[in-house]
Amino acid sequence: MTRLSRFLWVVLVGASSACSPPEKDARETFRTPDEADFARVSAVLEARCGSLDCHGQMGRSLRIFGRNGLRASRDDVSGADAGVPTRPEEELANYASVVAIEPEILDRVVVEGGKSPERLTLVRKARGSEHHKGGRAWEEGGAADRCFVSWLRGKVDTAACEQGKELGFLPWP
Amino acid sequence: MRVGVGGALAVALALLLACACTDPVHSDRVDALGGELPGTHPGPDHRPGQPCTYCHGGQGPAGPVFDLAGTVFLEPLGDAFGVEGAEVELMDRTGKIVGAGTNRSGNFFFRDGELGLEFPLRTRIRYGGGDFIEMTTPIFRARSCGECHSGAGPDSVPRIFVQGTP
Repeated sequence: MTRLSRFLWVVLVGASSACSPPEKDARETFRTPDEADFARVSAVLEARCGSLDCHGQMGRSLRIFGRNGLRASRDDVSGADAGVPTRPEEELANYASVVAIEPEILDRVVVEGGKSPERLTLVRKARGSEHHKGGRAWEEGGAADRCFVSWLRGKVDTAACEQGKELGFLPWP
Repeated sequence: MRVGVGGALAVALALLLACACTDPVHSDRVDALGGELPGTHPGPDHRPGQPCTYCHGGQGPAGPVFDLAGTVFLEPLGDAFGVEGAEVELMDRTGKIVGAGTNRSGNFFFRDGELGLEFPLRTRIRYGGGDFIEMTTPIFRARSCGECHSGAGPDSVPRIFVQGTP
């Protein structure tokens, strides 16, 4: 076999494998943070991200449901006065929304124990380190940030989540 | 009429720029607002309850530009016009507060540069000397109350009302 024909064989094999489609039933599995602990994180996202004028809208890729924002059921209404508390299925929908945005990156963050969470666009936008039309949702290292990152690490910081729900307004005079 | 190559290019460029400057989402929103209420005309009293900054937000078609605007009604349903004399206060996280009163159709507005607050904003209203009623959630970025306060539902809340206060 000449050098040229060997080269052509290599090119042919390489090209054929590069063009081969995935198997019909191929599935990719991504690891995600625990769904069971997400309710506390969801409450923070509802308070800071899920208002009707932000991510509490059906058209958002990060879509947050909650008592005071968007409701998942047509039978529920938004608002603390008339609305029922956030339902478990709404928290589950919030979980699905969060983990579905960047599953490959989330997989790496989870596998590496929550290391470098800023790889996630959600974290960068929330911290304001990447342009976010709604501005900074929380400060890096603040309670809300610690809550979210602790969930990525596999052990939710309950106290941080409780604190992170509060938006830090001063009382009215 | 004879048009030279230069003229044709100028017309083509003008058409291209005209098309490029049109935001179809904005246009659709404005169109969806419909016409004026019977007996009303453009002015401070018009279109109570509608999302004011769809038109007064800087993209046109109306002026002046508002930083934030809305309408306060007496009841959640009913009269198409709001109440005059309601007080609206907004506060940002630094504790700075600005206020406005509603006009005869219930409208209030902060013109461009008048608001001077950083979002998110807490809000409260008062009418007839009664107690202030505070909005449950802050305003995070909407500049028209009517964007969200368009009626009770799964993706909207009732219009702003003061029923129950004197």
